[in-house]
Amino acid sequence: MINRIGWIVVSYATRPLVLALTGLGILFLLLGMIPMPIRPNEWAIYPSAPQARLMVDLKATLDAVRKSGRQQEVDGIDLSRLWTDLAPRKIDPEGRPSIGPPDEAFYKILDEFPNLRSVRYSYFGEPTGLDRIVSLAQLETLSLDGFGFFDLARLRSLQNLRRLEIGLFEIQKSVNGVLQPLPKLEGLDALASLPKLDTLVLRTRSVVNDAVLTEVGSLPHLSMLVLDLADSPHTPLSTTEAGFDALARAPELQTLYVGGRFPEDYTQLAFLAKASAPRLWIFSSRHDSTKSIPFTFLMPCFWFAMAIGGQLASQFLGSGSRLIPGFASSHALVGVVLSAGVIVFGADRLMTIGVSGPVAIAASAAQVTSIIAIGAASALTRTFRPRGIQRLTWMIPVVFVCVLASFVFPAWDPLASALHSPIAAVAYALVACGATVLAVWTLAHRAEWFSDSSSLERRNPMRYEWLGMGGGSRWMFFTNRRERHIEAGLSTTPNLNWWQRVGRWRLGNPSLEILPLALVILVPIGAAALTMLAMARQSGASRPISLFPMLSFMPFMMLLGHVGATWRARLLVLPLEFLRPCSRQAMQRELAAAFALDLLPLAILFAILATLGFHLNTSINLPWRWVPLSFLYFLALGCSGILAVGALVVVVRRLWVSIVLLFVFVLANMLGGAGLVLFERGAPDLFPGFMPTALIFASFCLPILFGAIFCWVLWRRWLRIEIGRRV
Amino acid sequence: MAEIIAEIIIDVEHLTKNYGANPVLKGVNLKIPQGAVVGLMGMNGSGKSTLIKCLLGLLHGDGGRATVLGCDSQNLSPAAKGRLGYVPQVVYLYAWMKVRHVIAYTASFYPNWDHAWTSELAARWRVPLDARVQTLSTGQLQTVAIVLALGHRPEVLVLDEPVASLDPVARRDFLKSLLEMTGQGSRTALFSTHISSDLERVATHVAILSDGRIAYFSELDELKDRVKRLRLRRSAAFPADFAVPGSLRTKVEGSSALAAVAHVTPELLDELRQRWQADVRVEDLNLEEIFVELNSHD
Repeated sequence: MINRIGWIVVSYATRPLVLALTGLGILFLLLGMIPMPIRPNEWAIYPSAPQARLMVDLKATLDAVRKSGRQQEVDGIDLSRLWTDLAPRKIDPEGRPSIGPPDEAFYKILDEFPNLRSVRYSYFGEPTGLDRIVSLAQLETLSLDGFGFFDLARLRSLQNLRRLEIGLFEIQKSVNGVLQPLPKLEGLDALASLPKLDTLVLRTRSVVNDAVLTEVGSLPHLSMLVLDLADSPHTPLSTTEAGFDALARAPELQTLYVGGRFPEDYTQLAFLAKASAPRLWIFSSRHDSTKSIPFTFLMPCFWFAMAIGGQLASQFLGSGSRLIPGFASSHALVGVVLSAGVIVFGADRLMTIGVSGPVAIAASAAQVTSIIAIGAASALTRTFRPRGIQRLTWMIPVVFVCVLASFVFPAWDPLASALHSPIAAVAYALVACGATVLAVWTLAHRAEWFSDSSSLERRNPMRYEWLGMGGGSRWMFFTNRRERHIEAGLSTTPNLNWWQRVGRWRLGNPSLEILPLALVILVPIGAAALTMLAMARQSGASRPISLFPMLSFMPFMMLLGHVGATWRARLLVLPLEFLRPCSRQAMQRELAAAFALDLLPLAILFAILATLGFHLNTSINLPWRWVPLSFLYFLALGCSGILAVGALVVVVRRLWVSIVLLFVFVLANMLGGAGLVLFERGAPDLFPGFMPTALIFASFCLPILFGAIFCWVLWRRWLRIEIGRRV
Repeated sequence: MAEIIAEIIIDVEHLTKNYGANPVLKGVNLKIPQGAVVGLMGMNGSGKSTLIKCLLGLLHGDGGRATVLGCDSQNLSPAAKGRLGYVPQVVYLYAWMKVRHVIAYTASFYPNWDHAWTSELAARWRVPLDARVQTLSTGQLQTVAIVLALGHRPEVLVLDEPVASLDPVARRDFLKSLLEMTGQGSRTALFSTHISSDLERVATHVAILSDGRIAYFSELDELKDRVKRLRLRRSAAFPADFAVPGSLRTKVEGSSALAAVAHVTPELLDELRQRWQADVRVEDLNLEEIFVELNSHD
């Protein structure tokens, strides 16, 4: 037995595909350990204020607006930056250049813009100009930065104010020779008279105390409170449970973001908040890069599980699994031990970022087993159609609509809480494990069932029927539609135009076997996704909305892989098809077009999901009028990337080579795109003024460019491909 | 009477093909005239399938050239392809389709598809038209592939071990159909096989591929006339290193010896009788025996 298991381990260790997948997992693990060029907790990830359509924040912008007479269109102004740009430079007594506070005359500029909805305002000691600001009755967003005392009661006239951000500087500083007092908030209770105020952002550590939270708790219309203690020195927080008890009584409050520059800020505040106000959605206000889920958990486990699943599927597919004594049990034992190791590893990673034990194990198990189920399912797609599970197909959209609803409407608290609770996570994990067991069990018996499929019906009609190989109803109606097309159309249309010929090539693929595949894939994947939500909510590493692209990624990649695998299987028929009366060049062009058309729906799906995730991500908070543009961008990205990935699977014959190339492609995009953005953020002074914008533009275009280059290289390879070589 | 020169349908010159560092075809030369039915024989791994795939443009040769119907193999014109039929060694078809859909789908590519002929062939070979391809046995799959290859009544048939998985009845039916198709001399066929009895029934020519080259190519009857087995017997023992000049293989057992000779001439027989004082009897070989002798390394 030991000897046999040793040889099985050798079979893992000597298979290039397994080595490639394991290597990728280790690489992602190492990538997760590389210190990122950003400080932990540097990025705020709470919803930002709605972006102004036309913002005046620089002298150049101001001049341009004045010149074009578009003052009516300006709906946002950043007085702080504008004053920095406009203020006369002085030399202070120590010989350094300095800027004094704006005088009343500066604030006359507000009179030029009658439709202001958003104002950023800084004050230095005496809040000059505030009278003009509070006279802007239409104002919806006000951001205050400044030194010293400020009476919030003066904002009572802003009856349309929806969002108030307060960031007071916590240093005593001499302004014009007068020592400013430490900041404190007064008049907070006066904000209760603002009927539309639903968001309050406090960025000052010293003002966050029980008294302030108690006053915040009395604001009747507040639905979101952000305690983002980012730009503060690290002093102990004085907040206790009493403050959060008061918040729990806030009538409309639903969402609470807590955190700051230091990880313990989140830990302390989230602990108090969860204890006192469990009904609230509690998220981290800062992105903690040390809790980067994709790198520390998802990606390594994903690749490790792929390696195990792929090896198990290939081993169980052979007749040896049924005929060699002890073969199946030994392979299953090794598979289970390796899977358990990956599950424990994943759970350990999760627990280090604050996920509780049961949820961590459930999430890890769901991830690993679902991937292994995919490996099993990939071997079953052509024949695995149990009717009972077919009906579960219709549960998939229902599950995803529920998940999506919980993203879009956090107010559906009972539903969202149920979907994201630890109990639900464990239940989902059980579903995922069950689906895996079913898939692997079916796979383990497949060798017997299909060893002599021609006589299967005669030997066991019931089993034959159960597998969906008898009768007419077991085929998906899409497939029947294709069959009807073949019967009715093809034989009567001798002269086809180019599009019709492309369509004819597509008829050779059972592309809509996607539904039975989805049964086996999407149910466990969906369950795995939901465990991730529970995990994210517990760890505070990400808001659920930021997981949306990741959740979309897995089933999407599976669908993409399925289309790729279908076309890869088509290569087997190509030697026969190649000899049909058309030129090699025409056939290759038409087949490539048919392939691209098969992938186009996926590109559109990708563009929809990405656009949705992009715009739902309130940290980005782009105006909705950008939707068409971002959709077009993601469509271009999807077309180039998806075509490149799909073509990799089809054109490169060795699977492990295509996987390594796929990794290179993704890594190139990550390094190219994200690297440029990080570089631009980290060193803006290195570039002349126009460069950062050019860099950002380039960073967005790079993935499309990489995809296009990959497509071109693969196209050249496709033209030279030896059709007669075995896949 | 003027000699009628048959058109060369398949023309291969110095064709080479390597798989990595492993040379499979080392300079194949072959000219197949119109109307010939050529059986391609060779040991396992000798490159029969590789040669066929290179001929059809499914693989790229590394050197030399090959033409089929006057077209470069790597760039066969649609017209040339319309005159070609091919059955691969391992048949892959659209697993999800029913057989009749596969036939209809394939027929849609050919302007001259003979539906009546296809139906007749399908009926003759009991092709299960309503079965799905994925439920067919290997032999049934091969039968379907043959129907698909013959449906447009091709002028040139290239068959890579087409009957390896067929039962004896189906094999005979197939050979009969092949004879019917090629009987008038206008159709040409190249087929590889290990079943020499089939080849003897239908082939007009034989090509033997050995060590990456065509070791022998001629009409079948000529081959049988040339390759013979000599049985020698004398009163004294033959020396241990006895060998018949030009023999493929000589086996000595005391005063008896067996030799396979590729080219038996009356002069050779006279020389053996006189030099060794031996009784020399000439025996005919069937194709299988010839193949064994030609590939024997003893």
